[in-house]
Amino acid sequence: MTKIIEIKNLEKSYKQLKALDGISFDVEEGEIIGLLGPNGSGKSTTINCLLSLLRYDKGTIRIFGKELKPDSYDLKQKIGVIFQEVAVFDELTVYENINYFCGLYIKDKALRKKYVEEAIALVSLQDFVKFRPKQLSGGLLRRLNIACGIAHKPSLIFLDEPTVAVDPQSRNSILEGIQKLNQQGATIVYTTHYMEEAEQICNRIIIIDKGKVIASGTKEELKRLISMEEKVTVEVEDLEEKVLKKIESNANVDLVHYDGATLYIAYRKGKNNLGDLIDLFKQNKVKYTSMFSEMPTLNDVFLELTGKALRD
Amino acid sequence: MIKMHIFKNCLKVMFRTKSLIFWTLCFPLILATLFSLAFSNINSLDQFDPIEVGIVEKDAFPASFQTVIDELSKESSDSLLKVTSYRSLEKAKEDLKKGNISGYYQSGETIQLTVKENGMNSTILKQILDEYQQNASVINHLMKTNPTNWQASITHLFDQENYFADASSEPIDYVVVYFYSLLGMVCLYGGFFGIQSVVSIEANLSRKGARVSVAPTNKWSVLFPALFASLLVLFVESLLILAYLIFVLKIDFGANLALVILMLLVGDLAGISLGTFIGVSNRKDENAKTAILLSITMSASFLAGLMMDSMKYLVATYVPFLAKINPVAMITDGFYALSYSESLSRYTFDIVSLFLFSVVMMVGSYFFLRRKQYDSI
Repeated sequence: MTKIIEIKNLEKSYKQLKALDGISFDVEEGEIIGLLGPNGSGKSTTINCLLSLLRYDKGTIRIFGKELKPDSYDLKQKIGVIFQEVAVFDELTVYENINYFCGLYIKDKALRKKYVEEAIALVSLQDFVKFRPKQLSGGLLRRLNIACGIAHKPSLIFLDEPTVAVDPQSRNSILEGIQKLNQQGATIVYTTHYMEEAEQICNRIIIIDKGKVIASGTKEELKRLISMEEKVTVEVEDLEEKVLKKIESNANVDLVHYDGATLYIAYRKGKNNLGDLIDLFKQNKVKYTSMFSEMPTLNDVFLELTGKALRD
Repeated sequence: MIKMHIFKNCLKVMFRTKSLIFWTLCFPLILATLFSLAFSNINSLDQFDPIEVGIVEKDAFPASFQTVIDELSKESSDSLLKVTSYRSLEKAKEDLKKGNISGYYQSGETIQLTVKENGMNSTILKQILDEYQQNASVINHLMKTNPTNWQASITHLFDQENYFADASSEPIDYVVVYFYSLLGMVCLYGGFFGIQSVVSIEANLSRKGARVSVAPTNKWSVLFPALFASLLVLFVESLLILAYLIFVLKIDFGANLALVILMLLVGDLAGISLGTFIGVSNRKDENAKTAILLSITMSASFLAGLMMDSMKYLVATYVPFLAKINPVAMITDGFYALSYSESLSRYTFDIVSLFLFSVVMMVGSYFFLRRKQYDSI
């Protein structure tokens, strides 16, 4: 696999605040890589340094094997960027906006027309081509924002939290669009603080916190980093203290939390955790309304690695 | 090709930006209409009221000064002064206090002028005295060398129009200064277009700017067509306002309309250049940049006579440097020169100065725009 992006020991400070503290990672051709981290963790700063918009203090960045400089037009031609904030002209229609930004990359008018139409189809905005941005809903506006960034068919696409404040239907449409772009050959760098999105579309995930990479790998690899293997949630009232003690005494139990109505139990690796819990409840005549078991999520990974939840 | 693509889209954006069109077209039209209504009863120099001035013990003044005063107060439609002679200083003081006279001259080692308050009349009386004192030796020389016709020469030296404009060939209408300044203001409002163009290409000012910064294009190749589109839009607006002033409000711009239009074009260029410079030369946000432009535009328009016609004269007299670097004053003065001066030298000076101002602003912008990366965005 060819390395499309190579970052080594990237450092960037804003006065006293260290925004990036020695970030290093690679992105290989054809990957959808997720940069996952809470707000303010350094994801956008990393992207802006990668795009040569921001000066950085230390480290090296190579894209397509070369250093990206502000006047590296040959490299920039291959890159598409979708910024977190919608960046379109309110005075231009959907078609005109996509055509304008595509025109910064594609000079041939006929080819540009074809690309613009394909981008409109990709984000399903065919029915809105003559609409102005202010006439679009938040979700449609996000789709327009994406179309403006990818219409020129880049082979490397940066998406910086493209689904923030988007309705579920538009979110699914956006995520499907990203997967389509990847299937067409584009390498995707996707920043988000939504773990579900990262789990859904990314081949590999890099978890960033406080300007540092704290873990990276596939979602399975990341989940193997933590001791918890299973989470059980039970809706139960009036659970006696002695029962709670018995649950805690189970060698596989890592953590128990009971708030008077819901019981959470985190299990370490082990077999038949759920069956053992049901047996215990039967023996102690505990009545519960629901019980379900889940695999750990990336949020659990983040929680265990950093001591805080992703959305804190 | 890409420049034409950007140019066309910028034209669309500008024509569709209602706030921009309001401030650069509708607002000046409304202001011009209000000026016209407000000044409908104010007439030109034909109805200029002579300034009431006192002379205390006239016989004690040098003959040359008495002659100057006599010439300026000769009964005619364009006499500048109406003189009251006083035997006693107390009576003159009393009349000044009552407001019957704007000031009085009294003789002594040097001639002294006493005025009640600052204003146009006081300024003119002071100017007469200053010019007399500066020209006293010339007058004395004339009296000696040309004893038969020296009064006519003095009259020329103290021609009333000298207090307002250079050698004029037409009667002066002071109200037009307001309209000339208004056009100057419109030209400087081109700065809004300049700022908007800069905001749309700078990554630290807008996300659209970030898009442009990551595109494989030079910033100037995006900014230049945007500024050219701005100039075109502003020039069309300026022509519409000019047409409204000439054909609807009947404002006199002299006989040479082509030169008026040329002045507008260069003025528009100056306004856009100023906005571009404000846009690139500091790291404030768009609102702060707009506030800076508005402050400069309104100050420059005020000093050029937009709110008070005598201001143009006062600045030209007491702070001539300010008049020379004020683009609105250059535009106003250029229009003025076209209407009231037979020579084109003053107009040429103004338009060349304005063009140089634009060049300085653009060269300055170029150096600031060379910055390609940001410390924060």
